Amino acid sequence: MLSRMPPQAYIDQGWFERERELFFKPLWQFIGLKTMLSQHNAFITRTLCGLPIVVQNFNGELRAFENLCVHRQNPVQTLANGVRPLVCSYHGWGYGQDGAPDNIPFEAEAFRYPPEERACLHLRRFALETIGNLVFINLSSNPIPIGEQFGADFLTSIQECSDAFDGEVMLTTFKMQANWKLAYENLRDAHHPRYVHARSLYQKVKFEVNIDEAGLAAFKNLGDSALNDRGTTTSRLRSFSNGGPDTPMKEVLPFSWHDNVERYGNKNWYYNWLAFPNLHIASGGGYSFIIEHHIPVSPDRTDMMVHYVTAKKKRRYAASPAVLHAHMMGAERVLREDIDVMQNIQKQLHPGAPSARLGDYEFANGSIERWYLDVMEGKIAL
Amino acid sequence: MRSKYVIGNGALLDWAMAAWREVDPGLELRPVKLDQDAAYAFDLSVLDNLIVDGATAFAAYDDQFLNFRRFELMAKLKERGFSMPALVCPGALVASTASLGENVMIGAGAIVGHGCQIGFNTVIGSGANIGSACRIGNSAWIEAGVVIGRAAKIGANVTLGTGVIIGDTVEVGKFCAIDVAGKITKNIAAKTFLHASFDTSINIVEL
Repeated sequence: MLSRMPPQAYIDQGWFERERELFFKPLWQFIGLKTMLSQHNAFITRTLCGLPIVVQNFNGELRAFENLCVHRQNPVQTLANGVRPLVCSYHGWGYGQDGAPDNIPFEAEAFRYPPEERACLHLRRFALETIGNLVFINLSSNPIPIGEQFGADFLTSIQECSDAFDGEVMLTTFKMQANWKLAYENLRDAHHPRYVHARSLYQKVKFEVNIDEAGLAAFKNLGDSALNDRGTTTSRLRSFSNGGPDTPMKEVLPFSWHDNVERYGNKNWYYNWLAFPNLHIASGGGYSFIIEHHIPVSPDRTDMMVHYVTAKKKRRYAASPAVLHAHMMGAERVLREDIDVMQNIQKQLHPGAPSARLGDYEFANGSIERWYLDVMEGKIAL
Repeated sequence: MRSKYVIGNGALLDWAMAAWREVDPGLELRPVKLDQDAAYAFDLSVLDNLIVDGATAFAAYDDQFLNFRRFELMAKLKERGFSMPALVCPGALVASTASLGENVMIGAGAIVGHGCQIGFNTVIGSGANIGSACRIGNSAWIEAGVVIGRAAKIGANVTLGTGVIIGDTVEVGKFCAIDVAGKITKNIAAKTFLHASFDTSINIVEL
């Protein structure tokens, strides 16, 4: 079947900006791990949809704000993560959990704001939800309930899996020269590992194409009919996120550090979760987890922030940094194999490029395309 | 006759045997090949046949798992009661006021300045230049040719790769791996990893 996605969806700056407004801003987006925010004054900063965001712990309460001091637009927190009060280092303005300044040094002497102006000073706040160990934010002024984006079963599943994460987190960012959508079309494609990862991941996990014939038939029956009522819109949206045990592993080697962690589940399976639109979690056998967050930067650039954790420790052990390091080095090989393919595709795309030809096994991508384009064309809105 | 077990595998074991032969021709050397399985577990049964009885030992293993494998091997040998004197290769210049821990290896042509403290199980590669008053923690791996400025502090289990230069007084926290050639002029926090194949640093965060 002919993909409905035009090449402009991957290469056009105007499309990219509309996508931020119409598609990303109304959706709940992953922003970080709760374990990195578990102390009073712990914070993380990220840039989502071009907006600088800070998530800060105020005595156990997580709040998300625009990371931009209302005085002179300096970032209030300048590091990617840390433990520090929400205080701007430029002129010492401190902020409380409502986002209003609770301390303006020399306020009476130097600033002398009229009361009505003083009352308006506050950081822009964003909605925040935590599901297990996963922190999501929504940039809309009128966010949809998170349960309308993710189904109840899926929320339970990612809560259970993320509750198994250990608090020692390894993170890095891969700078992909490719559109973020290519990453997810690839992640939903169970047919590529035997070729792209023939000597790496596929040696351990024999991914196979299994066509959900009922799902395929339902997709084909969609035809061109308008699907713009809210119930159908959110029902379709919820179907895009799924996960759990994916494929049996050939073998789960008994590494000595396995004894030090509380294994998630008891299956020798490769676990896979896709939280629409841009979060991927995977685990080999429930002993460790990779959490990939693809942050769009421009039509042809995506920052893939990778968090690596083991399952929760039963006890501390000295070599835990070495375990995380070894896993990250191994993961890098597989990630690079995917990134190389995506970057090659991106390089070839041009405004007149022919659309992709999807096979039946790719109907999930086809279904998402339909919904995505309905959003981008303004046929449906959240 | 004085004897020494040299335990390891591959080229590093061969190299350690040759180095000890050169350093101490009168020493009876007994190579012990130690393999690991697919899950990276050592076959430690080969150590059961080693007899201390005045013999010393040397663990020749690379920087696998941030040098924990070499440390694990050294620990097993210490458990068995072996003394593990440092290996200082010919041509290395180690200042008389420097201190070297057990199972340290100083490669040919390396310079270790006055007042340096080199922790146990640390490898200083050939031609490395360690400035005066440096403190290098246990189980570090300093690749051949690395330059470390005076009074620098290198944490335990750190790996410094080819072409790395550490500035004077710079501190590198424990468990770091710096494998990008160039000069480091600012302190590096513990558990920071710089690899040329990665676009950004890799960091470990734990509250």
